[in-house]
Amino acid sequence: MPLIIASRRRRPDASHHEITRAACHRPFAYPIYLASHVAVAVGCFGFSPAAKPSDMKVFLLGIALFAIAFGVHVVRWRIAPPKGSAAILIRTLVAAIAVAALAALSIDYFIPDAARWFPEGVGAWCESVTLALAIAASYVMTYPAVEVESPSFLIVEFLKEAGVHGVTRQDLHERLNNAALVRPHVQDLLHEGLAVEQGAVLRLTARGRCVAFVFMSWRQMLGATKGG
Amino acid sequence: MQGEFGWLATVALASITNVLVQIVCCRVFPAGGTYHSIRLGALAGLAALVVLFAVPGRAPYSGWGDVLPAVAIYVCFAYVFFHFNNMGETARRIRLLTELAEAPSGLALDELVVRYSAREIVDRRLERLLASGYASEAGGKLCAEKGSVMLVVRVIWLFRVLLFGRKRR
Repeated sequence: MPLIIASRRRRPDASHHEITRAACHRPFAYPIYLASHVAVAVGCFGFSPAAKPSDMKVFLLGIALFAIAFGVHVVRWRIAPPKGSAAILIRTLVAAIAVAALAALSIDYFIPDAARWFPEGVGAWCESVTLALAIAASYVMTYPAVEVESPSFLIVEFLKEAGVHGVTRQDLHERLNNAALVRPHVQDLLHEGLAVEQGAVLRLTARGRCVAFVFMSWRQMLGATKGG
Repeated sequence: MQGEFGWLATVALASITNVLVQIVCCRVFPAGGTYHSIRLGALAGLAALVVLFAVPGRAPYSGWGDVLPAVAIYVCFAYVFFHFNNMGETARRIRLLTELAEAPSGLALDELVVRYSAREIVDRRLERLLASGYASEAGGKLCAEKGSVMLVVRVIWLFRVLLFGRKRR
């Protein structure tokens, strides 16, 4: 319980209640009282706030693996941004994390001095790789906002550009029409194989029906209406 | 929840708690809305994570280094789950897929646009921006208000510059 020990530095024999009671007579007493209770709670969980850098091997390796994969993604996209990039992004990040993890494992195995920089045990290595993949998944979910213009952000930018004069709803409807907001997404559905065009009619493919089923079932489970 | 893979069970249980609490909140308090239930679910999962780390008989932790990776993995799960919900709530592609799924014989583009038009897309987003205080309306004029949404717009712009080397329009 290092925090408790630290708070008893002035009077080693003082109990926690004595310390907090004394604190209550000073200005800002309540925050100190509250902080002392948090310190006890943290101490009870057995956490040490002054963790040594060596304790962070699992966390740091996970961050490093994702950072390498992100670097590969940036270089690949700067050379030539791929079309249908969501699937390619997932493949790029997963492959880069796997290769980086294998390289790190090899360094750990073949260079004896390097072992102190890496976590010990299969569980710890798996935790690092899972952390890297979890951050990658979070990035993949954010990526569409980077790749495609979000209507909400476009509206905010238009309003910001208009400044204090503002814009009318009609202005927004004129600038953000079906050609800008709907048709590109219909093309995306066709391009990604989620829908097909038969004559003038659009129909879902088996894959498209599957994706629609997942989201419709989930919304039904929540009791929510159609989104959009 | 001990052993080398104790973190996996801990994170999995916290994530399941997140999902279950969100479903229950949405069904029991539908007026609160999806975002409210997502917030409550994420907090419940985090609370479950803290409780699971404090389970008596668990191996003592040497420092934050033992806890931080599991918390980070859970936070990532909560973020991904938020986006999954958000896709159902706001994504145009998912709404188009839903409309097509409800018409087994298919839809012409014009029919699709009648069911889900740019006007509806803009109006829905405008209502959300007005409700959250990121925009205001007075005398028929809409204005941007200061808020975190501009920060998000800038961060996304930075990512675009990093990945594509220019500001895309």
